[in-house]
Amino acid sequence: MNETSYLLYLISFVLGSVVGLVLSYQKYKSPFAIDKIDVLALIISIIGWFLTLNSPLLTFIPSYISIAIGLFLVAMVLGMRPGYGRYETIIGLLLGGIIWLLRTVAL
Amino acid sequence: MKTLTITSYLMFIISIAGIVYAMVANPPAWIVYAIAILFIPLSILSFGLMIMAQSKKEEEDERAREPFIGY
Amino acid sequence: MNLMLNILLNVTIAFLLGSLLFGLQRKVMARIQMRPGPPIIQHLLHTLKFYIKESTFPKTAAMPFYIAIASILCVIWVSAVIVGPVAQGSLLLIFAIYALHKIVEHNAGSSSGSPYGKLSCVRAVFSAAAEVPLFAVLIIIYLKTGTMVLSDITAYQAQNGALLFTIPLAALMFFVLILSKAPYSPFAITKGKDIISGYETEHFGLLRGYLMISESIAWYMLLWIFLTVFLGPLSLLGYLVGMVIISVIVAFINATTPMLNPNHSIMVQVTLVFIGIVGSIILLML
Repeated sequence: MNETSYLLYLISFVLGSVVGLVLSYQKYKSPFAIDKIDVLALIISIIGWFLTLNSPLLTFIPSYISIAIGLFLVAMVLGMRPGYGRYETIIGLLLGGIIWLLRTVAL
Repeated sequence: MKTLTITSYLMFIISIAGIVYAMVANPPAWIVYAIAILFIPLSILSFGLMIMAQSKKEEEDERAREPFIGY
Repeated sequence: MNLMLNILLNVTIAFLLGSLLFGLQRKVMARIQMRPGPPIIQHLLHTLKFYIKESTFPKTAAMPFYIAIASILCVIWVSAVIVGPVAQGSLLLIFAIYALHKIVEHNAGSSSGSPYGKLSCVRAVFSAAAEVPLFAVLIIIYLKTGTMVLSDITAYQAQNGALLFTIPLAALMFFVLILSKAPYSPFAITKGKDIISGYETEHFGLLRGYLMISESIAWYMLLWIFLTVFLGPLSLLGYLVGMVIISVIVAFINATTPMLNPNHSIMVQVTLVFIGIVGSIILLML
């Protein structure tokens, strides 16, 4: 990871956060009160964490593009309206982390 | 305010020209450091002064410069 | 890579990551207080919001100096980025930059003409008690490694192991220094809420955004120097993980300690410095 790709990852994280914040304020009209998991955010979070942690598994895209897209999706869920997106992020991180562990340590 | 806008445009053009010169012409290292140290903050400041929000015309009289009469 | 492009890249990374780390601090502090807290990019959004606001300059401000001193804050931390990640230069320049930061805090407060600024200006001079640990850390590093140049310190650590384990009290003193620069920390006397915003009280709009940009770069650089000097050669991912961990630890300390008044803050810092210096000398002689 050189400094140009580092800057690319930071910019995609910031842009993803902004997009996630704007979209989540349009979708949720009230502060977080009900413990419901949003399915769309869960899917986005799982795809995002998978792309961020396990990008060598996708050989047809250069890894910096897939990590940048992954960070964008991760930040969309992480940067949602305060209180939302906690469970989706944790589930996505756990699933991506398990695949990473299987990939690097077990096999 | 007029002198402020003119000076900020001038400072912005000078600082961007200096930074582009340092990127393109590859001068010795100490010149690049001097240009970076002086012109990067100057470009941030002058760009901010350029794009600073201006007050609307009808609110102009609310922004009158009051005389300073002490605390 | 082209030198100017390298400098611009590092300054942008410093600004973005510093703002994100400040936002992460606020998030962790809020979670400790059992509330969700603002989003992580909130500090960055505030900086950009202030940057584009209509700004006024107070009538009592000492005019070109008042804008120039805000520029000098950005100048010194951009030069810290050049001395650090770009050129790997001498730690003495970092000490000079930190001393100039204190001078900028002092003058930004006194040039604005407000009584809160003047109080903060005096407190900034007072909090120069935090520079004694920095000087002591430099001397201890020099006695241990024989050099003050960052690239040589990294090479020393690649051979002899991280300095965090051989001179731990120097790392503690540097950590106290980092703590004094964090928002809501127990040692944050120049920006305490009892003097409204301290030296930033009369800096509106554009100048406030400008000061926040420089402070984000300053936070990144302080963490970068700590990681380079005490944990040795790290990859970029290692720097990222280290900075996140230090920011979270600082947020824990900030959320659970009160903000001390100036005298107590200096007393605590000087006590920790005394323990650090005496302990380090004893450890060096063993």
